[in-house]
Amino acid sequence: MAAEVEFQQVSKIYNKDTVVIPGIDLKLPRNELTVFVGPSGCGKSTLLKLIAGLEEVSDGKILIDGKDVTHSSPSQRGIAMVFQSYALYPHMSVYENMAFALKISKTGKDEIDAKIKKVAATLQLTEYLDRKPRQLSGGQRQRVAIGRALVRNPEVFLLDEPLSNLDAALRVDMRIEIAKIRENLNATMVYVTHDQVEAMTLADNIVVLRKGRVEQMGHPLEIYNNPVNKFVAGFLGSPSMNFINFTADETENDFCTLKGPGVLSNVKFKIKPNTLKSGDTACIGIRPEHIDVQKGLAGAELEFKTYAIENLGDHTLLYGHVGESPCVLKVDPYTKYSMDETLGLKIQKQHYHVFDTQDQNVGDSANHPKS
Amino acid sequence: MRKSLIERILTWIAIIAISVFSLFPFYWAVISSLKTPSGLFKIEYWPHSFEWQNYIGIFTEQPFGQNILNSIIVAGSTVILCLFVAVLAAYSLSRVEFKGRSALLLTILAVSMFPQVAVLSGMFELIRTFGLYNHWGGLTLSYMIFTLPFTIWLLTTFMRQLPRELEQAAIMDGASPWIILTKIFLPLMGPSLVTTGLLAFIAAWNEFLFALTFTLSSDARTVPVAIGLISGASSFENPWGRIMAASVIVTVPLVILVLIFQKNIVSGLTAGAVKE
Repeated sequence: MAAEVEFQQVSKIYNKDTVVIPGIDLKLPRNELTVFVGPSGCGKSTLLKLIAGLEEVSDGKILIDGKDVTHSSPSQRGIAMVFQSYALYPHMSVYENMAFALKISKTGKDEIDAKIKKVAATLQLTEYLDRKPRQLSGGQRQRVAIGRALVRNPEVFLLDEPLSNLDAALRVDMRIEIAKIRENLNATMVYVTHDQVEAMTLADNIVVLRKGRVEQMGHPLEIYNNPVNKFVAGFLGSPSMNFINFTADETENDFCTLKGPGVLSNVKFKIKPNTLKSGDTACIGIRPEHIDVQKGLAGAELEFKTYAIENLGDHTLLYGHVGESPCVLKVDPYTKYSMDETLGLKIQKQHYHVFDTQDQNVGDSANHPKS
Repeated sequence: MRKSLIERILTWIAIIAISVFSLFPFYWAVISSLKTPSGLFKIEYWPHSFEWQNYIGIFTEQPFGQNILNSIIVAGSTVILCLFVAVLAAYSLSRVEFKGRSALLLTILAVSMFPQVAVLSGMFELIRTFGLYNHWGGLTLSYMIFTLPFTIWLLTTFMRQLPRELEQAAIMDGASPWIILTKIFLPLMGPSLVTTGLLAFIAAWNEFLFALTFTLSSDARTVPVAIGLISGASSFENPWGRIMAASVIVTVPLVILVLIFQKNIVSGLTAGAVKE
């Protein structure tokens, strides 16, 4: 049965003064896959180990299915974990690797055999059951590691950067495979990654972490379309969102116009009421694919100077500056652009964000498509 | 790059010089053991006749068979006891966080700095109190003093190199520390166990001072003491032939052991030296 995982004011402090998690409240919904993302050192792996019980909380409570497991041992929590390095027992065959936990919990031989055969069949490992881990390829090892966790029928399934050791092509295959496994699995999954594609494609919920704090939690598209602040906005998406600095010129209740280097015309941006004053520095956030590019400046809103061009076949990336802010544009690959060309830009009106001096998103999200 | 002729000649000269320096004493012991007492005083680099009387003599005229058996028991039990204690110690020193861990490790290393003579009289009292005087158990116990420090150090270093995630995976699978140690770590430590065990065996096999002090009768003696105390028919005769024969006999088991475990020793000593 899948279980809900809940953090109540959980903190983790190493050696009395290194604060990794300053105090977190978080509820991971039952039977859903939650992805923890964030830059390295944001505490995502620590959170996972706290759920697993491999690390002890410094303060606060962890509840699994409503039960306080803060001081329970890892094996009492009904949890299985897949490690970044797979951590297969090198001297045991695939079969023995999968049987290890079941043997310890004194499961009957026939039951162990039946469970392993079933899991091996779903993971296409049947013909490798007698092999040692060193005789397997990276992808097969990864599947064994997943299989070892699956045979235990966990309520909570933890994955710590499971695909980071695979090469790019295999990573795509395994990502799809994990998505498939997940469909037939009745478990709450927690997945740690720094790969935003994995986060976007696999997650029911994304939790964006920074310095041990939750910046935003929500459905992937919700976070992609309505980031609460500049950090979240810049973290998801590749190439990441452009941030163009400006000064608020005229502000009305829920509109502002901007001025600054590179700004050509007085376009009005919708903001939450009374969030910007005239003269405030702020920035516009806009994704590379949400900017219309034109040759020449007639009728354009921003002036863009190209300094590098990357043609990727299906699209072309133009690197350059608007005023002093670096800016990337995603354009069709058929129009010819040249270095040091000056181009005119228009911002698509449904897709921009406005960030204030505290980096909070003050753009009016009513403009944006809801997920 | 091809070496020039001179370089190759110099290399071979060096190899031969080193080989002669290290192998000649053993070769000399072998040919001396095959000579008659009178033949010993002629300098011959090649043996002309093979006389086995020295080998027969040490077994018939003194309890050398018993001495060899004693040595095997002492060295064997030292290895078993030492590895058992060292594996447990290494697990806690490498895997369990506790206060004063590195201080303890240094203390263990410091123990091996004491010269044996310094602890001799205290150890003698200890062994008499335990009633182990003139008994192989006394030797096994006292040999821990110089075998444990290096076995603990070697095994601790090796266990530290085992990936932490392996242990965490076992914890998630519900394994207790005892199961982690016996089912996960020990099978992976084969080479290092062989290496450290063999080094402990050699140290115990060759030990002289404790063996001399803590035994009394000739049937409790180990081989090094027995060899040291071989005496001739009169006090004016030093039976070099028999001493050499006995030395050759006790060296052979070590050579065989080292040859058998050769591969393990090398991989044990270099394990983790480079990333695999």
